[in-house]
Amino acid sequence: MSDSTRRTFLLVAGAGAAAAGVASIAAPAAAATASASASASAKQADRSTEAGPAPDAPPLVAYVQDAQSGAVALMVGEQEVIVHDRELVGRLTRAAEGK
Amino acid sequence: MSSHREAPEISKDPVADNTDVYAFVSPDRPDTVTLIANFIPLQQPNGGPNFFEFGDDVLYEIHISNSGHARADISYQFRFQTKIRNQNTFLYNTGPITSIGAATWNRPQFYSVTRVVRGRDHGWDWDDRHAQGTVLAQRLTVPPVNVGVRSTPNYAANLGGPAVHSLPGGRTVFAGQRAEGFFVDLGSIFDLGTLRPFEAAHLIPSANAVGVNGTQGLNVHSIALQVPIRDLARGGKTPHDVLDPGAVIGVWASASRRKTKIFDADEGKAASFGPYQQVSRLGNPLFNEVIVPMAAKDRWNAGDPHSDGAFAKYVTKPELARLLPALYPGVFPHLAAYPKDRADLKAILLTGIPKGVVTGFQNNTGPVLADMLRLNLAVPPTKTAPNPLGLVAGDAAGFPNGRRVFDDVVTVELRAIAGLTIPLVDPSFTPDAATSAISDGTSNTNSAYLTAFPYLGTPMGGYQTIPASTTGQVAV
Repeated sequence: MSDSTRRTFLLVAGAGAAAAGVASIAAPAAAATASASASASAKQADRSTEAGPAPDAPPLVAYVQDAQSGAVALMVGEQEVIVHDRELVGRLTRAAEGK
Repeated sequence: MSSHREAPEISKDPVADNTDVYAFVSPDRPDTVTLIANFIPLQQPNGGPNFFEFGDDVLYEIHISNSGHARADISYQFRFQTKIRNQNTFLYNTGPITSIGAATWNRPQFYSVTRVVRGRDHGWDWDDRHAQGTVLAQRLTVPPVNVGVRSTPNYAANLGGPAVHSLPGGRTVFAGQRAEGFFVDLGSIFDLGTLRPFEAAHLIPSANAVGVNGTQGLNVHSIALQVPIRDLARGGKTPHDVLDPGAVIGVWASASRRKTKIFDADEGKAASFGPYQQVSRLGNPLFNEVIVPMAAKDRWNAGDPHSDGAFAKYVTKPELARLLPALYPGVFPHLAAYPKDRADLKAILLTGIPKGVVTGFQNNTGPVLADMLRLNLAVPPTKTAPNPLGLVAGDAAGFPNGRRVFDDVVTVELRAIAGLTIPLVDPSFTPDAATSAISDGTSNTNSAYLTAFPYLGTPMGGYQTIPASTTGQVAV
Protein backbone atom coordinates (compact mmCIF):
# COMPACT_ATOMS: atom_id res chain seq x y z
CA MET A 1 0.00 0.00 0.00
CA SER A 2 2.32 2.68 -1.20
CA ASP A 3 -0.26 5.29 -2.00
CA SER A 4 -2.60 4.89 0.89
CA THR A 5 -2.46 3.24 4.22
CA ARG A 6 -5.13 0.95 5.54
CA ARG A 7 -5.57 3.30 8.44
CA THR A 8 -6.23 6.18 6.09
CA PHE A 9 -8.73 4.11 4.20
CA LEU A 10 -10.67 3.10 7.26
CA LEU A 11 -10.94 6.57 8.63
CA VAL A 12 -11.73 8.28 5.38
CA ALA A 13 -14.26 5.72 4.25
CA GLY A 14 -15.81 5.50 7.67
CA ALA A 15 -16.15 9.09 8.63
CA GLY A 16 -14.34 11.86 6.83
CA ALA A 17 -15.21 10.90 3.31
CA ALA A 18 -18.79 10.24 4.24
CA ALA A 19 -19.09 13.85 5.23
CA ALA A 20 -17.35 14.91 2.06
CA GLY A 21 -19.63 12.68 0.06
CA VAL A 22 -16.92 11.29 -2.17
CA ALA A 23 -16.15 7.80 -0.93
CA SER A 24 -18.17 4.64 -1.22
CA ILE A 25 -18.14 1.02 -0.21
CA ALA A 26 -19.36 -1.42 -2.79
CA ALA A 27 -20.25 -5.01 -2.02
CA PRO A 28 -21.28 -7.73 -4.47
CA ALA A 29 -24.90 -7.54 -3.55
CA ALA A 30 -25.18 -3.82 -3.24
CA ALA A 31 -23.21 -0.63 -3.46
CA ALA A 32 -23.86 1.93 -0.79
CA THR A 33 -22.29 5.17 0.22
CA ALA A 34 -20.56 5.23 3.53
CA SER A 35 -22.91 7.93 4.70
CA ALA A 36 -25.61 5.30 5.10
CA SER A 37 -23.96 4.13 8.27
CA ALA A 38 -21.51 6.85 8.99
CA SER A 39 -21.74 6.73 12.75
CA ALA A 40 -21.44 2.96 12.95
CA SER A 41 -18.54 2.97 10.60
CA ALA A 42 -16.86 5.74 12.49
CA LYS A 43 -17.02 3.70 15.68
CA GLN A 44 -15.62 0.73 13.83
CA ALA A 45 -12.85 2.86 12.48
CA ASP A 46 -12.08 4.25 15.90
CA ARG A 47 -11.66 0.75 17.26
CA SER A 48 -9.44 -0.25 14.38
CA THR A 49 -6.93 2.51 14.36
CA GLU A 50 -4.49 4.05 16.74
CA ALA A 51 -4.67 7.61 15.46
CA GLY A 52 -6.88 9.85 13.38
CA PRO A 53 -6.43 10.37 9.67
CA ALA A 54 -3.75 12.63 8.34
CA PRO A 55 -5.25 16.08 7.87
CA ASP A 56 -4.38 16.01 4.18
CA ALA A 57 -5.57 12.46 3.56
CA PRO A 58 -7.06 12.43 0.07
CA PRO A 59 -10.54 11.13 -0.58
CA LEU A 60 -10.61 7.61 -1.88
CA VAL A 61 -13.02 4.94 -3.02
CA ALA A 62 -12.96 1.31 -1.91
CA TYR A 63 -14.41 -1.43 -4.07
CA VAL A 64 -14.98 -4.97 -2.86
CA GLN A 65 -15.70 -7.00 -5.96
CA ASP A 66 -15.43 -10.43 -4.36
CA ALA A 67 -15.73 -10.62 -0.59
CA GLN A 68 -14.51 -14.21 -0.53
CA SER A 69 -11.11 -13.32 -1.94
CA GLY A 70 -10.59 -10.52 0.56
CA ALA A 71 -9.41 -8.19 -2.18
CA VAL A 72 -10.20 -4.51 -1.80
CA ALA A 73 -9.47 -2.04 -4.59
CA LEU A 74 -8.68 1.43 -3.37
CA MET A 75 -8.99 4.27 -5.85
CA VAL A 76 -6.79 7.14 -4.82
CA GLY A 77 -6.16 9.96 -7.24
CA GLU A 78 -5.23 8.27 -10.52
CA GLN A 79 -3.95 5.16 -8.77
CA GLU A 80 -5.57 1.86 -7.90
CA VAL A 81 -4.17 -0.04 -4.94
CA ILE A 82 -5.26 -3.62 -4.30
CA VAL A 83 -5.05 -4.94 -0.74
CA HIS A 84 -5.89 -8.49 0.35
CA ASP A 85 -7.40 -8.41 3.81
CA ARG A 86 -10.35 -10.67 4.62
CA GLU A 87 -10.73 -9.08 8.04
CA LEU A 88 -11.02 -5.67 6.44
CA VAL A 89 -13.59 -6.95 3.96
CA GLY A 90 -15.52 -8.46 6.83
CA ARG A 91 -15.65 -5.13 8.63
CA LEU A 92 -16.63 -3.32 5.46
CA THR A 93 -19.45 -5.67 4.62
CA ARG A 94 -20.75 -5.53 8.17
CA ALA A 95 -20.56 -1.74 8.06
CA ALA A 96 -22.46 -1.73 4.77
CA GLU A 97 -25.17 -3.74 6.47
CA GLY A 98 -25.31 -1.21 9.30
CA LYS A 99 -23.90 -3.61 11.88
CA MET B 1 -21.20 4.82 -39.19
CA SER B 2 -17.45 4.92 -39.04
CA SER B 3 -17.55 4.52 -35.30
CA HIS B 4 -20.33 6.80 -34.14
CA ARG B 5 -22.40 5.18 -31.40
CA GLU B 6 -21.04 1.87 -32.60
CA ALA B 7 -21.15 -0.07 -29.33
CA PRO B 8 -23.83 -0.29 -26.64
CA GLU B 9 -21.81 1.22 -23.79
CA ILE B 10 -20.12 4.05 -25.64
CA SER B 11 -23.37 5.04 -27.32
CA LYS B 12 -24.43 6.27 -23.86
CA ASP B 13 -21.24 8.30 -23.42
CA PRO B 14 -20.87 10.58 -26.45
CA VAL B 15 -18.21 12.81 -24.88
CA ALA B 16 -15.83 9.83 -24.94
CA ASP B 17 -17.09 8.33 -28.20
CA ASN B 18 -14.28 8.24 -30.77
CA THR B 19 -16.00 8.55 -34.14
CA ASP B 20 -13.24 8.78 -36.75
CA VAL B 21 -9.46 8.65 -37.03
CA TYR B 22 -7.45 10.09 -39.90
CA ALA B 23 -3.73 9.79 -40.60
CA PHE B 24 -2.03 11.09 -43.73
CA VAL B 25 1.12 12.74 -44.97
CA SER B 26 0.14 16.40 -45.06
CA PRO B 27 -0.37 17.46 -48.68
CA ASP B 28 0.78 21.04 -48.06
CA ARG B 29 3.59 20.07 -45.69
CA PRO B 30 4.82 16.67 -46.92
CA ASP B 31 7.54 16.50 -44.29
CA THR B 32 4.77 16.15 -41.69
CA VAL B 33 1.97 13.76 -40.82
CA THR B 34 -1.48 14.90 -39.75
CA LEU B 35 -3.34 12.83 -37.17
CA ILE B 36 -6.98 13.58 -36.39
CA ALA B 37 -9.28 11.93 -33.87
CA ASN B 38 -12.93 12.94 -33.73
CA PHE B 39 -15.27 12.61 -30.77
CA ILE B 40 -18.84 13.52 -29.73
CA PRO B 41 -20.91 12.34 -32.68
CA LEU B 42 -23.96 13.77 -34.42
CA GLN B 43 -23.84 17.25 -32.91
CA GLN B 44 -26.81 19.32 -33.97
CA PRO B 45 -25.25 22.80 -34.16
CA ASN B 46 -28.12 24.52 -32.33
CA GLY B 47 -27.86 22.15 -29.37
CA GLY B 48 -27.54 24.76 -26.63
CA PRO B 49 -27.57 26.27 -24.15
CA ASN B 50 -25.01 23.78 -22.90
CA PHE B 51 -23.23 23.26 -26.16
CA PHE B 52 -20.92 20.36 -26.92
CA GLU B 53 -17.46 20.29 -25.37
CA PHE B 54 -14.66 17.85 -24.57
CA GLY B 55 -14.86 16.02 -21.25
CA ASP B 56 -12.70 17.31 -18.42
CA ASP B 57 -12.89 13.80 -16.99
CA VAL B 58 -11.79 12.04 -20.18
CA LEU B 59 -8.24 11.25 -21.25
CA TYR B 60 -8.04 11.54 -25.03
CA GLU B 61 -5.11 9.90 -26.78
CA ILE B 62 -3.68 9.30 -30.23
CA HIS B 63 -1.31 6.32 -30.35
CA ILE B 64 1.41 5.36 -32.78
CA SER B 65 3.06 1.97 -33.06
CA ASN B 66 6.26 2.02 -35.10
CA SER B 67 8.12 -1.13 -34.08
CA GLY B 68 5.93 -3.93 -35.37
CA HIS B 69 4.35 -5.16 -32.16
CA ALA B 70 1.09 -3.19 -32.31
CA ARG B 71 1.73 -1.48 -29.00
CA ALA B 72 1.85 2.25 -28.45
CA ASP B 73 5.44 3.38 -28.85
CA ILE B 74 4.28 6.98 -28.84
CA SER B 75 1.12 8.48 -27.42
CA TYR B 76 -0.10 12.03 -27.55
CA GLN B 77 -2.39 12.79 -24.64
CA PHE B 78 -4.93 15.58 -24.41
CA ARG B 79 -6.49 16.72 -21.14
CA PHE B 80 -9.17 19.38 -20.94
CA GLN B 81 -10.25 21.86 -18.31
CA THR B 82 -13.36 24.00 -18.43
CA LYS B 83 -13.98 27.31 -16.66
CA ILE B 84 -17.05 29.40 -15.97
CA ARG B 85 -16.16 33.07 -16.15
CA ASN B 86 -19.45 34.52 -14.94
CA GLN B 87 -21.10 32.49 -12.22
CA ASN B 88 -24.31 34.53 -12.36
CA THR B 89 -25.59 33.99 -15.84
CA PHE B 90 -27.12 31.10 -17.72
CA LEU B 91 -25.62 32.28 -20.96
CA TYR B 92 -22.96 30.41 -22.94
CA ASN B 93 -21.86 33.82 -24.18
CA THR B 94 -22.74 37.21 -22.80
CA GLY B 95 -22.13 38.96 -26.11
CA PRO B 96 -20.46 38.34 -29.44
CA ILE B 97 -17.34 36.16 -29.14
CA THR B 98 -14.95 37.84 -31.51
CA SER B 99 -11.75 36.14 -30.37
CA ILE B 100 -10.88 32.91 -28.59
CA GLY B 101 -9.83 34.95 -25.55
CA ALA B 102 -12.98 37.07 -25.43
CA ALA B 103 -14.43 37.62 -21.95
CA THR B 104 -17.90 37.29 -23.46
CA TRP B 105 -17.33 33.55 -23.81
CA ASN B 106 -18.59 32.31 -20.50
CA ARG B 107 -17.44 28.72 -20.68
CA PRO B 108 -13.95 28.59 -22.13
CA GLN B 109 -12.14 25.31 -22.35
CA PHE B 110 -8.40 24.78 -22.22
CA TYR B 111 -6.17 21.78 -22.77
CA SER B 112 -2.72 20.36 -22.42
CA VAL B 113 -0.74 18.17 -24.81
CA THR B 114 1.63 15.50 -23.51
CA ARG B 115 3.90 13.25 -25.54
CA VAL B 116 4.63 9.85 -24.04
CA VAL B 117 7.37 7.63 -25.48
CA ARG B 118 7.45 3.99 -24.42
CA GLY B 119 9.88 1.14 -24.88
CA ARG B 120 12.99 -0.25 -23.30
CA ASP B 121 15.04 2.78 -24.23
CA HIS B 122 12.59 5.09 -22.55
CA GLY B 123 11.95 3.43 -19.24
CA TRP B 124 8.23 2.85 -19.65
CA ASP B 125 6.71 -0.48 -20.47
CA TRP B 126 4.32 -0.53 -23.41
CA ASP B 127 1.46 -1.61 -21.17
CA ASP B 128 2.14 0.99 -18.48
CA ARG B 129 -0.78 3.37 -18.51
CA HIS B 130 0.97 5.49 -15.92
CA ALA B 131 3.92 6.24 -18.17
CA GLN B 132 4.98 9.84 -17.75
CA GLY B 133 5.54 11.98 -20.79
CA THR B 134 6.73 15.40 -21.80
CA VAL B 135 4.18 18.15 -21.54
CA LEU B 136 4.39 20.01 -24.84
CA ALA B 137 1.94 22.76 -23.93
CA GLN B 138 -0.65 23.75 -21.36
CA ARG B 139 -3.63 26.10 -21.28
CA LEU B 140 -4.14 25.99 -25.01
CA THR B 141 -7.52 27.40 -25.91
CA VAL B 142 -10.33 25.44 -27.49
CA PRO B 143 -12.52 27.65 -29.67
CA PRO B 144 -16.18 28.04 -28.75
CA VAL B 145 -18.69 26.12 -30.81
CA ASN B 146 -20.26 27.87 -33.77
CA VAL B 147 -23.32 29.33 -32.05
CA GLY B 148 -24.45 31.63 -34.83
CA VAL B 149 -23.86 34.82 -36.74
CA ARG B 150 -24.35 37.09 -33.72
CA SER B 151 -22.56 35.07 -31.08
CA THR B 152 -19.62 33.76 -33.11
CA PRO B 153 -19.31 36.06 -36.13
CA ASN B 154 -16.72 35.31 -38.81
CA TYR B 155 -16.11 31.97 -37.14
CA ALA B 156 -13.27 30.73 -39.32
CA ALA B 157 -11.22 33.91 -39.15
CA ASN B 158 -12.00 34.96 -35.59
CA LEU B 159 -12.13 31.62 -33.81
CA GLY B 160 -11.24 28.59 -35.90
CA GLY B 161 -7.96 29.88 -37.30
CA PRO B 162 -6.62 31.40 -34.06
CA ALA B 163 -7.26 28.10 -32.28
CA VAL B 164 -4.49 26.47 -34.33
CA HIS B 165 -1.55 26.46 -31.94
CA SER B 166 2.15 25.90 -32.55
CA LEU B 167 3.93 23.43 -30.31
CA PRO B 168 7.64 22.87 -29.72
CA GLY B 169 9.43 20.68 -32.23
CA GLY B 170 7.62 21.93 -35.32
CA ARG B 171 4.30 20.49 -34.21
CA THR B 172 0.87 22.05 -34.63
CA VAL B 173 -2.34 21.29 -32.77
CA PHE B 174 -6.03 22.11 -32.89
CA ALA B 175 -8.82 20.90 -30.64
CA GLY B 176 -12.37 22.03 -31.14
CA GLN B 177 -15.57 21.78 -33.11
CA ARG B 178 -15.45 20.95 -36.82
CA ALA B 179 -17.97 20.11 -39.49
CA GLU B 180 -18.48 16.37 -39.76
CA GLY B 181 -16.36 15.27 -42.70
CA PHE B 182 -17.47 11.65 -42.72
CA PHE B 183 -20.38 10.97 -45.04
CA VAL B 184 -22.72 8.02 -45.13
CA ASP B 185 -26.37 7.27 -45.76
CA LEU B 186 -27.31 6.40 -42.20
CA GLY B 187 -31.02 6.11 -42.80
CA SER B 188 -30.69 3.58 -45.58
CA ILE B 189 -27.80 1.45 -44.34
CA PHE B 190 -29.40 0.88 -40.96
CA ASP B 191 -32.69 0.00 -42.67
CA LEU B 192 -31.70 -3.59 -43.44
CA GLY B 193 -28.63 -2.70 -45.42
CA THR B 194 -30.33 -0.70 -48.10
CA LEU B 195 -28.21 1.24 -50.58
CA ARG B 196 -30.57 3.75 -52.19
CA PRO B 197 -28.89 3.69 -55.64
CA PHE B 198 -29.47 -0.08 -55.74
CA GLU B 199 -32.57 -0.59 -53.64
CA ALA B 200 -34.58 -1.95 -56.57
CA ALA B 201 -32.40 -5.04 -56.18
CA HIS B 202 -32.95 -5.24 -52.41
CA LEU B 203 -34.82 -8.13 -50.86
CA ILE B 204 -37.53 -5.61 -49.95
CA PRO B 205 -37.35 -3.49 -53.09
CA SER B 206 -38.26 0.07 -53.88
CA ALA B 207 -37.30 2.42 -56.68
CA ASN B 208 -33.64 3.33 -56.89
CA ALA B 209 -32.89 6.74 -55.42
CA VAL B 210 -30.02 9.08 -54.75
CA GLY B 211 -28.09 8.70 -51.52
CA VAL B 212 -28.79 10.96 -48.53
CA ASN B 213 -25.85 12.09 -46.43
CA GLY B 214 -26.96 11.28 -42.91
CA THR B 215 -24.31 13.51 -41.31
CA GLN B 216 -25.33 16.59 -43.25
CA GLY B 217 -25.56 19.65 -41.05
CA LEU B 218 -23.86 17.98 -38.10
CA ASN B 219 -20.61 18.68 -36.27
CA VAL B 220 -18.02 16.74 -34.28
CA HIS B 221 -15.20 17.69 -31.93
CA SER B 222 -11.76 17.11 -33.42
CA ILE B 223 -8.30 16.75 -31.97
CA ALA B 224 -5.86 17.39 -34.80
CA LEU B 225 -2.11 17.16 -34.56
CA GLN B 226 0.50 17.78 -37.23
CA VAL B 227 3.98 16.53 -36.47
CA PRO B 228 7.22 16.01 -38.37
CA ILE B 229 7.47 12.54 -39.89
CA ARG B 230 10.58 11.89 -37.81
CA ASP B 231 8.40 12.39 -34.72
CA LEU B 232 6.60 9.14 -35.53
CA ALA B 233 8.88 6.93 -37.60
CA ARG B 234 10.97 4.16 -36.15
CA GLY B 235 14.36 5.46 -35.10
CA GLY B 236 13.36 9.09 -35.51
CA LYS B 237 14.14 9.00 -39.24
CA THR B 238 12.25 10.19 -42.28
CA PRO B 239 11.75 7.08 -44.46
CA HIS B 240 11.97 7.38 -48.24
CA ASP B 241 11.75 3.73 -49.34
CA VAL B 242 8.13 2.59 -49.59
CA LEU B 243 9.19 -1.04 -49.25
CA ASP B 244 11.16 -0.40 -46.05
CA PRO B 245 9.28 -2.07 -43.17
CA GLY B 246 10.34 0.83 -40.97
CA ALA B 247 8.36 3.22 -43.14
CA VAL B 248 5.01 2.00 -41.76
CA ILE B 249 3.27 3.16 -38.62
CA GLY B 250 0.06 1.98 -37.03
CA VAL B 251 -2.30 4.62 -35.65
CA TRP B 252 -5.31 4.48 -33.38
CA ALA B 253 -7.04 6.76 -30.92
CA SER B 254 -8.71 6.13 -27.61
CA ALA B 255 -10.69 7.74 -24.84
CA SER B 256 -10.42 6.69 -21.22
CA ARG B 257 -12.37 7.42 -18.07
CA ARG B 258 -11.43 7.04 -14.44
CA LYS B 259 -12.30 3.66 -13.01
CA THR B 260 -14.75 4.98 -10.42
CA LYS B 261 -17.30 7.75 -10.53
CA ILE B 262 -19.38 8.92 -7.60
CA PHE B 263 -22.13 11.46 -7.70
CA ASP B 264 -21.38 14.24 -5.25
CA ALA B 265 -24.77 15.56 -4.26
CA ASP B 266 -23.27 18.60 -2.55
CA GLU B 267 -21.73 19.74 -5.82
CA GLY B 268 -24.44 18.27 -8.00
CA LYS B 269 -21.94 16.52 -10.22
CA ALA B 270 -19.74 13.48 -10.40
CA ALA B 271 -16.27 13.03 -8.94
CA SER B 272 -13.90 10.47 -10.41
CA PHE B 273 -11.25 8.31 -8.77
CA GLY B 274 -8.70 5.74 -9.76
CA PRO B 275 -6.73 5.01 -12.90
CA TYR B 276 -7.92 5.68 -16.42
CA GLN B 277 -9.64 2.79 -18.15
CA GLN B 278 -10.16 2.80 -21.90
CA VAL B 279 -13.79 3.07 -22.97
CA SER B 280 -13.44 3.82 -26.68
CA ARG B 281 -10.90 3.18 -29.42
CA LEU B 282 -10.70 3.40 -33.17
CA GLY B 283 -8.22 2.49 -35.88
CA ASN B 284 -9.76 1.43 -39.16
CA PRO B 285 -13.15 2.99 -39.84
CA LEU B 286 -16.11 0.67 -39.39
CA PHE B 287 -14.10 -2.11 -37.73
CA ASN B 288 -16.04 -2.23 -34.48
CA GLU B 289 -19.14 -1.06 -36.27
CA VAL B 290 -19.62 -3.79 -38.87
CA ILE B 291 -17.04 -6.46 -38.10
CA VAL B 292 -17.35 -7.06 -34.36
CA PRO B 293 -20.62 -8.61 -33.10
CA MET B 294 -22.75 -6.49 -30.81
CA ALA B 295 -22.11 -8.71 -27.81
CA ALA B 296 -18.34 -8.17 -28.13
CA LYS B 297 -18.21 -4.48 -29.08
CA ASP B 298 -17.84 -3.09 -25.57
CA ARG B 299 -15.02 -5.50 -24.81
CA TRP B 300 -13.30 -4.53 -28.04
CA ASN B 301 -13.50 -0.85 -27.10
CA ALA B 302 -11.79 -1.56 -23.78
CA GLY B 303 -8.97 -3.59 -25.32
CA ASP B 304 -5.74 -2.82 -27.10
CA PRO B 305 -4.87 -3.52 -30.74
CA HIS B 306 -2.20 -6.10 -29.94
CA SER B 307 -4.95 -8.34 -28.51
CA ASP B 308 -7.15 -8.17 -31.60
CA GLY B 309 -6.27 -11.72 -32.62
CA ALA B 310 -9.31 -12.74 -30.60
CA PHE B 311 -11.47 -10.85 -33.11
CA ALA B 312 -9.76 -12.14 -36.26
CA LYS B 313 -12.49 -14.72 -36.90
CA TYR B 314 -14.94 -11.88 -37.46
CA VAL B 315 -12.62 -10.42 -40.09
CA THR B 316 -11.93 -13.63 -41.96
CA LYS B 317 -15.59 -14.61 -41.98
CA PRO B 318 -17.37 -11.25 -41.93
CA GLU B 319 -21.07 -11.27 -41.25
CA LEU B 320 -21.70 -8.53 -43.80
CA ALA B 321 -20.24 -10.68 -46.59
CA ARG B 322 -22.90 -13.26 -45.80
CA LEU B 323 -25.65 -10.66 -45.57
CA LEU B 324 -25.02 -9.01 -48.93
CA PRO B 325 -26.06 -12.05 -51.03
CA ALA B 326 -29.11 -12.51 -48.82
CA LEU B 327 -30.18 -8.85 -48.97
CA TYR B 328 -29.54 -8.56 -52.70
CA PRO B 329 -30.72 -11.89 -54.12
CA GLY B 330 -28.87 -12.98 -57.24
CA VAL B 331 -26.51 -10.00 -57.22
CA PHE B 332 -23.53 -11.58 -55.49
CA PRO B 333 -23.41 -15.24 -56.55
CA HIS B 334 -19.59 -15.41 -56.58
CA LEU B 335 -19.34 -13.89 -53.12
CA ALA B 336 -22.01 -16.26 -51.81
CA ALA B 337 -20.11 -19.25 -53.13
CA TYR B 338 -16.69 -18.17 -51.87
CA PRO B 339 -15.72 -20.75 -49.26
CA LYS B 340 -12.38 -19.48 -47.98
CA ASP B 341 -11.36 -17.25 -45.14
CA ARG B 342 -10.97 -13.64 -46.19
CA ALA B 343 -7.22 -13.28 -46.29
CA ASP B 344 -7.64 -9.98 -48.14
CA LEU B 345 -9.55 -8.39 -45.27
CA LYS B 346 -7.16 -9.87 -42.76
CA ALA B 347 -4.30 -8.16 -44.56
CA ILE B 348 -6.06 -4.84 -45.02
CA LEU B 349 -7.41 -4.56 -41.49
CA LEU B 350 -5.19 -6.64 -39.22
CA THR B 351 -1.62 -6.83 -40.56
CA GLY B 352 -1.35 -4.31 -43.33
CA ILE B 353 -0.77 -5.22 -46.96
CA PRO B 354 2.52 -7.10 -47.36
CA LYS B 355 5.07 -6.46 -50.06
CA GLY B 356 4.24 -8.15 -53.37
CA VAL B 357 0.45 -7.80 -53.26
CA VAL B 358 0.20 -4.30 -54.76
CA THR B 359 3.11 -3.44 -57.01
CA GLY B 360 5.52 -1.04 -55.36
CA PHE B 361 3.48 -0.77 -52.17
CA GLN B 362 3.22 -2.24 -48.69
CA ASN B 363 1.97 -1.09 -45.33
CA ASN B 364 2.57 -4.24 -43.36
CA THR B 365 3.38 -3.98 -39.67
CA GLY B 366 4.30 -7.59 -39.04
CA PRO B 367 2.45 -10.69 -37.91
CA VAL B 368 0.63 -9.28 -34.87
CA LEU B 369 -3.07 -9.12 -35.71
CA ALA B 370 -4.19 -5.64 -34.75
CA ASP B 371 -6.76 -3.14 -35.90
CA MET B 372 -4.67 -0.08 -36.64
CA LEU B 373 -4.84 2.53 -39.35
CA ARG B 374 -1.57 1.83 -41.16
CA LEU B 375 0.30 4.57 -42.93
CA ASN B 376 3.38 4.16 -45.10
CA LEU B 377 5.23 7.40 -44.43
CA ALA B 378 7.32 7.09 -47.58
CA VAL B 379 4.32 7.38 -49.89
CA PRO B 380 4.11 11.04 -50.91
CA PRO B 381 0.74 12.81 -50.83
CA THR B 382 -1.23 12.88 -54.06
CA LYS B 383 -1.53 16.57 -54.79
CA THR B 384 -3.25 16.43 -58.16
CA ALA B 385 -6.71 14.87 -58.30
CA PRO B 386 -6.45 12.53 -55.32
CA ASN B 387 -8.96 9.70 -55.60
CA PRO B 388 -11.36 9.34 -52.62
CA LEU B 389 -11.38 5.60 -53.28
CA GLY B 390 -7.70 5.50 -52.36
CA LEU B 391 -5.55 2.47 -52.89
CA VAL B 392 -8.18 0.33 -54.63
CA ALA B 393 -8.41 3.08 -57.25
CA GLY B 394 -4.65 3.32 -57.63
CA ASP B 395 -4.09 6.26 -55.27
CA ALA B 396 -1.63 4.83 -52.74
CA ALA B 397 -1.76 7.97 -50.60
CA GLY B 398 -5.31 7.15 -49.55
CA PHE B 399 -7.19 4.61 -47.47
CA PRO B 400 -6.28 1.95 -46.46
CA ASN B 401 -2.87 3.53 -46.56
CA GLY B 402 -3.78 5.89 -43.76
CA ARG B 403 -6.96 7.84 -44.26
CA ARG B 404 -7.51 11.34 -45.62
CA VAL B 405 -10.47 13.47 -44.59
CA PHE B 406 -12.14 13.07 -47.97
CA ASP B 407 -11.60 9.35 -48.45
CA ASP B 408 -14.86 7.52 -49.19
CA VAL B 409 -14.25 4.75 -46.69
CA VAL B 410 -17.84 3.49 -46.79
CA THR B 411 -17.61 2.72 -50.49
CA VAL B 412 -14.11 1.28 -50.19
CA GLU B 413 -15.05 -1.04 -47.35
CA LEU B 414 -18.38 -2.07 -48.87
CA ARG B 415 -16.63 -3.05 -52.08
CA ALA B 416 -13.83 -4.80 -50.23
CA ILE B 417 -16.23 -6.84 -48.11
CA ALA B 418 -18.25 -7.62 -51.24
CA GLY B 419 -15.15 -9.25 -52.68
CA LEU B 420 -13.38 -6.60 -54.76
CA THR B 421 -10.08 -7.17 -52.96
CA ILE B 422 -10.16 -10.97 -52.87
CA PRO B 423 -8.19 -11.26 -56.14
CA LEU B 424 -5.27 -9.48 -54.49
CA VAL B 425 -4.63 -12.66 -52.53
CA ASP B 426 -6.66 -15.22 -54.49
CA PRO B 427 -6.47 -14.70 -58.27
CA SER B 428 -8.89 -17.57 -58.82
CA PHE B 429 -11.77 -15.43 -57.61
CA THR B 430 -13.71 -13.17 -59.94
CA PRO B 431 -15.71 -10.46 -58.16
CA ASP B 432 -19.38 -10.16 -58.98
CA ALA B 433 -20.19 -7.58 -61.63
CA ALA B 434 -21.98 -5.34 -59.14
CA THR B 435 -19.08 -5.19 -56.71
CA SER B 436 -17.19 -2.37 -58.34
CA ALA B 437 -20.37 -0.28 -58.55
CA ILE B 438 -21.45 -0.56 -54.90
CA SER B 439 -21.90 2.78 -53.20
CA ASP B 440 -24.30 4.39 -50.80
CA GLY B 441 -24.37 7.37 -53.14
CA THR B 442 -23.18 9.98 -50.67
CA SER B 443 -20.46 12.60 -50.60
CA ASN B 444 -19.52 15.42 -48.24
CA THR B 445 -22.36 17.95 -48.14
CA ASN B 446 -21.10 19.89 -45.12
CA SER B 447 -18.56 22.70 -45.08
CA ALA B 448 -15.80 22.18 -47.61
CA TYR B 449 -12.66 20.47 -46.43
CA LEU B 450 -9.80 22.87 -45.83
CA THR B 451 -6.62 22.72 -47.89
CA ALA B 452 -4.51 23.27 -44.79
CA PHE B 453 -4.46 22.12 -41.19
CA PRO B 454 -6.79 21.09 -39.55
CA TYR B 455 -8.33 20.10 -42.93
CA LEU B 456 -11.84 19.45 -41.57
CA GLY B 457 -14.24 22.24 -42.44
CA THR B 458 -15.64 25.11 -40.42
CA PRO B 459 -18.37 23.83 -38.10
CA MET B 460 -21.96 24.30 -39.07
CA GLY B 461 -23.61 27.22 -37.25
CA GLY B 462 -26.39 26.88 -34.72
CA TYR B 463 -28.39 29.86 -35.97
CA GLN B 464 -28.06 28.54 -39.49
CA THR B 465 -29.44 25.12 -38.55
CA ILE B 466 -32.40 24.04 -40.64
CA PRO B 467 -34.46 21.36 -38.90
CA ALA B 468 -35.07 18.25 -40.93
CA SER B 469 -38.16 18.24 -43.08
CA THR B 470 -40.93 15.96 -41.88
CA THR B 471 -42.25 15.52 -45.40
CA GLY B 472 -42.29 11.86 -46.20
CA GLN B 473 -40.84 10.86 -42.84
CA VAL B 474 -44.03 9.38 -41.47
CA ALA B 475 -43.98 5.65 -41.85
CA VAL B 476 -46.56 4.31 -44.28
